[in-house]
Amino acid sequence: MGGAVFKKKNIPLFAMISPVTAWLIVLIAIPLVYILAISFCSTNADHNIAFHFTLKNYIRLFDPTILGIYSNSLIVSILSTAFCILLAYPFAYVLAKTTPFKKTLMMIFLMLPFWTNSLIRLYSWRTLLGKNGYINEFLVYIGLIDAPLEMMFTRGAVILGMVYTLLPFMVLPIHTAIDKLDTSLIEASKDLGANFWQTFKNVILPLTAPGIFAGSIMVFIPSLGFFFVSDLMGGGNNQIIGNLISRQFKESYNWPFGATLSIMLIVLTIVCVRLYTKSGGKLDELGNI
Amino acid sequence: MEIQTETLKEPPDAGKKKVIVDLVKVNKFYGLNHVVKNLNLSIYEKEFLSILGPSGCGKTTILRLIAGFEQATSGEIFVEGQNIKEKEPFQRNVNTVFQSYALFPHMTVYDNIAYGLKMKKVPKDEIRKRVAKAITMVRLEGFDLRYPVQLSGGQKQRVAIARAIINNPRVLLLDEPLGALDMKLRKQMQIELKSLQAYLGITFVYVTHDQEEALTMSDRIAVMNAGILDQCDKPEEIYDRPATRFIADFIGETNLFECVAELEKDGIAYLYCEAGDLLGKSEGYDPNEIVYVSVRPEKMKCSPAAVDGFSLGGIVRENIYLGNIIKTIINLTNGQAIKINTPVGAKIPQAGSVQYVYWDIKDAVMIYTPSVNKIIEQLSATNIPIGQTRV
Ligand SMILES: Nc1ncnc2c1ncn2[C@@H]1O[C@H](COP(=O)(O)OP(=O)(O)OP(=O)(O)O)[C@@H](O)[C@H]1O
Ligand SMILES: [Mg+2]
Repeated sequence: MGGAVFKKKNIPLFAMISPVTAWLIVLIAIPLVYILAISFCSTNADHNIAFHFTLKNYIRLFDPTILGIYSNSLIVSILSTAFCILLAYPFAYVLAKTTPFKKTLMMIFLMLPFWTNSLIRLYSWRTLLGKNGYINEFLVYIGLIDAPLEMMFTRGAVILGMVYTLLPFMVLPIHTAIDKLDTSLIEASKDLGANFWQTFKNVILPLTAPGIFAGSIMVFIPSLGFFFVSDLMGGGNNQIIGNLISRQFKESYNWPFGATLSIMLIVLTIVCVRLYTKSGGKLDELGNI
Repeated sequence: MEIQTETLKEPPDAGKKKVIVDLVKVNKFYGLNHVVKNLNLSIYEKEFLSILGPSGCGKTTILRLIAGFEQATSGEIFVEGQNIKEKEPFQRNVNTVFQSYALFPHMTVYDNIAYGLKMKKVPKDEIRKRVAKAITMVRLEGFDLRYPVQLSGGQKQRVAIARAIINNPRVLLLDEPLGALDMKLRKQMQIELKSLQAYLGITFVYVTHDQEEALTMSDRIAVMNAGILDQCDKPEEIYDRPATRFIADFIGETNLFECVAELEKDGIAYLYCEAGDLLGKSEGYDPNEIVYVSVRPEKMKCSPAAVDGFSLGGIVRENIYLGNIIKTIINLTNGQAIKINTPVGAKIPQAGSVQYVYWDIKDAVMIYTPSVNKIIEQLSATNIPIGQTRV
C-alpha cells in the first residue's frame, strides 16, 4: 500500500470497510492459512500438533480405506445431484410457467419444511423408513413382504436424506433459468414443426443448462460434506468425506490429517466452480438464488 | 353485430381468388377482456394483407390465433379449407416471423435456418442445399457460422425470415417485423419484403401499426379498432373512402366535422356543425341525422369571403413551412383547428387574417353514422359496453 492511499478523504472509506476486512482476515484468511500449514504437520503422542514438515498426511490420502470413503462419498453426491435434477426440473418448469398465485403457493410448499431444524426433519424419516416404521408396518400388513425391510442406514437412505435436504438449492437456479427463457423461442420451435420433445431437447434444455449446472454445484459440493445426513440416515456405515473430516477433529484428534482432508475438499470445490465458469456459467447465478 | 359485416367490402376480383385463411365469427377473450370481437376475415392466396391498428387493438392476438398459439373463445379458423383445430401446428403450411425475431441464441445462423428442416428429418444433403438457397435469398452469404448476438438488427431480421420460409409455407405471418429497425433500414426492408413475397408467390399477413408502411406495401389493409375490424380494403379505398370515423382519423391527416344533416338537393347535402354551415355529397340522409365529413388537408381551401353554402370562418393562427408544402392552421369559431396544406409557391393567407374554409363537394368524404338511437339499440343487443363502440 502506497502512502498516497492514506489521504484524509479516504478515512471514512477505511472506517467503513475495515470491520469487514478485519472479519475476513481474522475469521477466514488466518484459519485457512493455519489449516494449510498444519496439513503439512504431524501429531505427537499426546495428539498435539507437532510443527515439523511432512507429506505423510497427503500420502495417507491414497490409503485404501480413505479412497473407499472418497469413492462412496462421490457416488452419494453424484446420485444425489442426479436425483435432484430429475425431481427439480419438472417442478421448476411448472413453477416458472404457472400463474403468480400458484407460484407463490408452490414456493411456500418448497420452503416451509426449511423453517424446521433439518436434524429434526431427518429424524422423522426414521419413523417412516425404520425397521418398525410406518412403511414397513404397512407393507407387512398388506402382505407384500414377510419381514421388515432394511431401509434406514443404507446408501439409499443417505442419498434420500441428501436429496431431501438439498432439493431447493437445485430448484431455484433451474427456476431462474427457465423463467428467463423467452417463451417466443418455444413457440418458434413449435412453429417450425418441432414436437414437445424435440423442442425440449433442442431449445429448452440447452438454454436452461446453466441453471442445471449452477444447481448441481449447489447440491454436489454440500453433499460431500453434510456429515450429519450420513450420520442420521447412514448410521455410521455409509461414510462421506464430511464424516471423515469431522472424525479427525472430534474423535481421532488428528487435526493435521483433518486439515489435509479439508484442503482436498476445498480443491475439489474450486475445480467444480472452475468447470462451471469455464462452461460459461456466471458466479452471480450461484449466489443469486 | 351487423354493423361490422356491412363495412366489409369484397375486392372486385374476389370471385377469381382462392381463400387461404378464413376467420369466421372469431371471438377471443382473455378473462373478461374481449380482445377480438366477432371477426370475419377472408385472406386470399398470394395476397399481401396488412393488419393495421393502434397498440393493444388485438393485432398480435389475431396472428397468434391463426398460428395456433392461442385458441379462439368462439368461432372457426380455416387454413387451406381445413379447420385448424384438427391440425397440429407442424401440419399446417403456416410459419411466423416473430416481432422480437426469437432466434435461437445457442445456434448459428445456419442451424437456425435449418431448424425447421431438421425437425422434419429432411436428408442432410437436401438441408444443405435448401439452407444455402434461403441464405442467398435473404443475402446473408458468409454469415452461416455466426451466432445471433454477432448480428445487427437487420441481419437478425433476415435470419428470422429465412428460417420461417425454409419450410415453404403457403402463408407467412409477420408481427411488426420491422419495428426495431431504424427508418432507413426499414424502408429498404419494406421493398425487400415486398419483392420476396412476389418471388415466393405466397400470402403475407403483416401486422403493423405504421399506416404509411401498410399503405405502401399492402394489397389490402384490415384496420382494427379496439378488437373490431372496421374496414378491410385496398389502400386507396381505405384512404379515400374510410368506412368509419375512426379510420378517417387514424389513416393520414384529416379535418373531421361532426355534422347534422339538414336537407338534400341535386346531389348536394346541406349540413351544419358547431362552427357553421357546410356542404357534402348527398347520400340519402334523413334530416337531423348525424353525419361525419372528412376533408384531407390537401383538399381544403380558404378565402377571405364566405363561399356559397359554407360559413366556417376563422383566424389564421400560423403557417408552418414543411419542405415541399406549407401547412396553414386556422382556428374556427368553436376552437377547432383546421389544417390546410398548400404547395410551396402558391398563395397562402396571412397569419392573423380572417378566412373562410371550404372545399369541392367531390372531396368531402361522407361517413355515415347510425343515429344515436340505433347505436343504443345495437349495443343493448350485443352487450358491448357503450365506451367501446367504434362510432
Ligand atoms: N396473454 C394475455 N393475457 C391477457 N391479456 C392479453 C394477453 N395477450 C394480450 N392481451 C391483451 O389483449 C389486448 C390485445 O393485445 P395484442 O397483443 O393483440 O395487441 P396488439 O394490437 O398486438 O398491440 P401492439 O401494437 O402494442 O403489439 C391487449 O389489451 C392486451 O393487454
Ligand atoms: Mg402486437
